[in-house]
Amino acid sequence: MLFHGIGAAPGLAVAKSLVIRPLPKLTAANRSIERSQVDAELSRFKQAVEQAGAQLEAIIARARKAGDETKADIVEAQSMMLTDPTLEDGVREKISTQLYSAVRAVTETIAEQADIMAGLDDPYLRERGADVKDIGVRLASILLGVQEQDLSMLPEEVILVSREITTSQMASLDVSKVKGVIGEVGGKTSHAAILANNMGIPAVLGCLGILDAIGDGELVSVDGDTGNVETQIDSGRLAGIKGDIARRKALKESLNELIDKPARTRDGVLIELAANIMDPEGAAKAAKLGADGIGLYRTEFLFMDRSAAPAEDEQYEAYAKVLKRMQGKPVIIRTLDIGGDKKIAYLNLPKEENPFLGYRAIRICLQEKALFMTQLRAILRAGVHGRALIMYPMIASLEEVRAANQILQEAKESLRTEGLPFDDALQAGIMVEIPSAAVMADLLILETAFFSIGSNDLTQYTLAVDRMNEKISKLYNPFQPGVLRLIRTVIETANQAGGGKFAGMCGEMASDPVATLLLLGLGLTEFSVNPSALLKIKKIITSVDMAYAREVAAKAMQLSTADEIVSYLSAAIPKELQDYL
Amino acid sequence: MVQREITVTNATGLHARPAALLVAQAAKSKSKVMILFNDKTINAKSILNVLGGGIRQGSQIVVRVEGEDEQPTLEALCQLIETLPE
Repeated sequence: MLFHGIGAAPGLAVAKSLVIRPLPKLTAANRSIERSQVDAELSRFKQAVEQAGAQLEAIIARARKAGDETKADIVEAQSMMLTDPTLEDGVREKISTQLYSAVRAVTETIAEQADIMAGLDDPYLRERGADVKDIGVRLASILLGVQEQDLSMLPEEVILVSREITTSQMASLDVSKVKGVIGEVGGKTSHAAILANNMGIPAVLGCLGILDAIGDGELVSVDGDTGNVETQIDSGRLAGIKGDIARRKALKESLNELIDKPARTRDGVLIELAANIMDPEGAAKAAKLGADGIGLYRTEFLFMDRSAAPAEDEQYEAYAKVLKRMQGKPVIIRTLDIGGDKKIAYLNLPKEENPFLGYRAIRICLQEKALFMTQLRAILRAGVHGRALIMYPMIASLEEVRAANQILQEAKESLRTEGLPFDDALQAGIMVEIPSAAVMADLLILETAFFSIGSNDLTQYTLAVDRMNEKISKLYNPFQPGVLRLIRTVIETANQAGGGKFAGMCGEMASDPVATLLLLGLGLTEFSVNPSALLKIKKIITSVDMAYAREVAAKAMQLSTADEIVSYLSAAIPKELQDYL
Repeated sequence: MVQREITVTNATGLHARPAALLVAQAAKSKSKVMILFNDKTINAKSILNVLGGGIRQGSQIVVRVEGEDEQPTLEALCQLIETLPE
């Protein structure tokens, strides 16, 4: 059976499914017990707690071994909850006096405790309710005899199938065992997709209906390039898929010869082909792939999943590590981009009706000046270890650029006063992702060093399409002529400004081979792509010449609909490159 | 029974890690250990109770200990709360 979703991270894989389903509903048979069963039920509960404790200990040991202290601490707190007297007393009371089954007693006691947490006015503590629920699910799974689904410890290779692939699932899974992920919700730009890309795991999201159709442990294939998911695979089909995997692997390996070659078009135009990363490990990977720099370093991941913001020294260490790994190649460090779909509990951000139009990114930084100042100081100090550039996200007006640059100046002054070494020449540019910034690019370029086009948000804001909304996700299309005209304006404005100013692109569109000829032809000089797409994009750049790219771009810009543009661009890619799409 | 009023000063209040440290310390005691806060009586040996108490930076709490090792327990807990990291 064939399903179709959104190809969210490239690659093809086939393996047994590991389906994460909601726990079964309690039936009359397992809700209540007889008086005579109380002792047996109490000891079942005790055994379940011991078993769950052993599972958590194993996860903690693994996390410590991997140097992941944050995760170890979170699980440690969960393991404490497991043996908690409040939980134990509640469960024992429900079993012995109310004659509840152990699983029902656990479920209800956990729900009571989670409700207490949910009612707290502290958002960080409210989120701990999720830890309490995790414990409840773990205990209930053991009591119901449902297979434990610890993604960090899997006996065999699997493809993970779930309603929603959560960030914590992605963060905990064992990369050597999880060959692919399939989610019923989400898309190219959800966190799960970004993490899957970073980890090199094929992912298809937005794959509706798969949960009802797939059996536990059934063979399933996931094709992150096409968005296809296949079930009911017989031996003939399995051989076909394996052949496909081998063919694509060979194709991918043929790209390795490009690692040390520059991204130069056939007629000699040198393009800067950089990588998007979220942590220092990403920089190591990018350097290995021969990236010309880092076009987007997403610093917000340093700020997430913790109880307070990282101190200046901790940030400095991370930024310095990236700069050292890139050995003098440019590294564009984007300042904190939170809000919208990315939450940070300790900032106490209020819930908003329209988070994407609300308090996020630079808007937060300009109000939380201390937070911003700490980050800018850390970047300026790290700047002595390489070539750093700062990028402000979500710029809508010139006032914001000036206000941010003002704080940057103050950060420099304070470092000067303290006598700390820093990169005084460090320049700042902006992310162009709000239509107003694209429209007034001529004014913004006068006071910024560069533009980097954030095609994901620019598309969402230009078309007024919430990219998280499944119902309208088909309307989200960066190839809409309205979006392309804004992109053209931004590129042309930067190229005409002179003085070393440039336009780059760090959004998903830069990683899409269908867009490469168009972007080249429009005059884009810096592409910042997902590491997994880097060599593929380099292959295209090095196989074409600018005259052809310009001709293709000019024709594409005359077409009137996104569909026409995509089919024209796909066909315009030279035949020998079609395999790389 | 011994008790003492104390102010929580660390930045995050009794969040996950500080709360875990407190509960681990309380669990060592043979006495009954309670925290009185906002008209609530919190069992200091229960991480769920302590987290659910919603104690933050600046919260005034009363630590109350009742049992055979009440005095050393009270001293150890107050010292821990005063020197909590984060």
